[in-house]
Amino acid sequence: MGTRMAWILMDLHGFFKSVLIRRTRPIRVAIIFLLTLNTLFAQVDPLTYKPTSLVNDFAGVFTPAQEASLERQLVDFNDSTTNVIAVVTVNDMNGYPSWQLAYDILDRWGVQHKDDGNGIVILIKPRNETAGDVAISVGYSLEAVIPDILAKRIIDEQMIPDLKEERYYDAVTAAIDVMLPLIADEIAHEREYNAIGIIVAFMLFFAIIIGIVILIDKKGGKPGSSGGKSGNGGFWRALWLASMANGGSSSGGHHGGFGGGGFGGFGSRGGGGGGGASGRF
Amino acid sequence: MTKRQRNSLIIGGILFVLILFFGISYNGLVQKEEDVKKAWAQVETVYQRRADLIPNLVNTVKGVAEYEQETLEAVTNARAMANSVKVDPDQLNQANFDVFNQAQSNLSSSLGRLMVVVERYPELKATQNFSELQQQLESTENRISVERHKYSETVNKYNSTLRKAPTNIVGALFGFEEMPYYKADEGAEVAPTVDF
Repeated sequence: MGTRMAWILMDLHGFFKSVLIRRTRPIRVAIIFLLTLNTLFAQVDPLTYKPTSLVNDFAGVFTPAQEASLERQLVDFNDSTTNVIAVVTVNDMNGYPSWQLAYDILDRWGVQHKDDGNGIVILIKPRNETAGDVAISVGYSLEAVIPDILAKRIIDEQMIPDLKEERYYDAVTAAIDVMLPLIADEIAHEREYNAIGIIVAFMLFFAIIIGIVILIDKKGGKPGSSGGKSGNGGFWRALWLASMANGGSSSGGHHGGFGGGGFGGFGSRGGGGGGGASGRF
Repeated sequence: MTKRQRNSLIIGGILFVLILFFGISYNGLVQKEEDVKKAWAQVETVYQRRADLIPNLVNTVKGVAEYEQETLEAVTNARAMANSVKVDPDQLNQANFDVFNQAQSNLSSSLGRLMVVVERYPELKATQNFSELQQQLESTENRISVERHKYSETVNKYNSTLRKAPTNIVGALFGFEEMPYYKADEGAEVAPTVDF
């Protein structure tokens, strides 16, 4: 009985194994083939794309130098104010109205800091077989300083003249130059609050460490040696510990850091209500 | 440990798990229902925003196009009607929802007609005041479409939680009801075909 069962089981195992090998190989080949095809003819869908930078030039209208300088400017602005401005170019609107695509990008990428609603998306579709499209989508918190009419005016007066001449970089920088001073003062209080919080946390941390060191010192200092000397040593030891703690945390680095740091990342989904404007050229 | 002790321990354990489960499901439903109410308030806000633009728009058009009294009056009346229908988020049901949206879509279509009429007055379209109003109206329509979409998404989450077992038992016990939502194309149909 027992040997017979084992034999059947072994047989079944072999059967499955052969099926697996036979079946999976063509499938695997097919998958690899499809994957290669996919990368060859990849068309990025901006909505499912997971962005890591603020400038996403799907249409390839910027030179690498332009893209880098734009990215630098926007990352610096994000570092100093937490406001997020994303620039996206696409070759095809896929049937979307431009405001809708700009809004969807704002919403799905989470172009904002945490859930502050302080993001802006500038979307450009260059003129190719079809007319060019440009749209600015403004997050909830920035609607007050960049109302729809202003967004429209920025598009009509700052961007369209350059866009018509295919000077995409100039168009975007012109728009950004108008917007940055306006939104610079928005939301920035959040980071100041954080800074105070961090300082308070550090002070508490030091106080605890100093307290512990003093306690340890008192215990150790009791037999024999003079009180003043041991107190002094405790102070220096505390300072040394504190500097260690300080060094440790700063090397961890929460923000990208000044100069050279990349974009820290987008916030949570949402943040916009369809505010902004769009235009054609 | 006697058999009785063991049994009561088991029963107590089961009861505890059940209560825990009911509590969590109930809180989950309440949270999702609150989200729906919030999203609805947002929908009403953007419709109100549109209604607030209309008096200004009517006045601007009136100044130039005196012969379009009828169309202007239709817009004013539709606005008054739409403004009179408010749905308290706590009384959000299919009937109230339909009345509200009927009133808003009447306003949309009379606005659409006004915009067609306006096409005959190029001197009006050239004024900055009018073009700014037009722009505001356009982006308010965008906002309406966004908030309607968000609302439907939230309702969808709530309704599907409510229908799924075993939360549906909790829902039925505490009288949670399904919320009305915008069907797929409704948004597209209601947005007026104002060709700017």
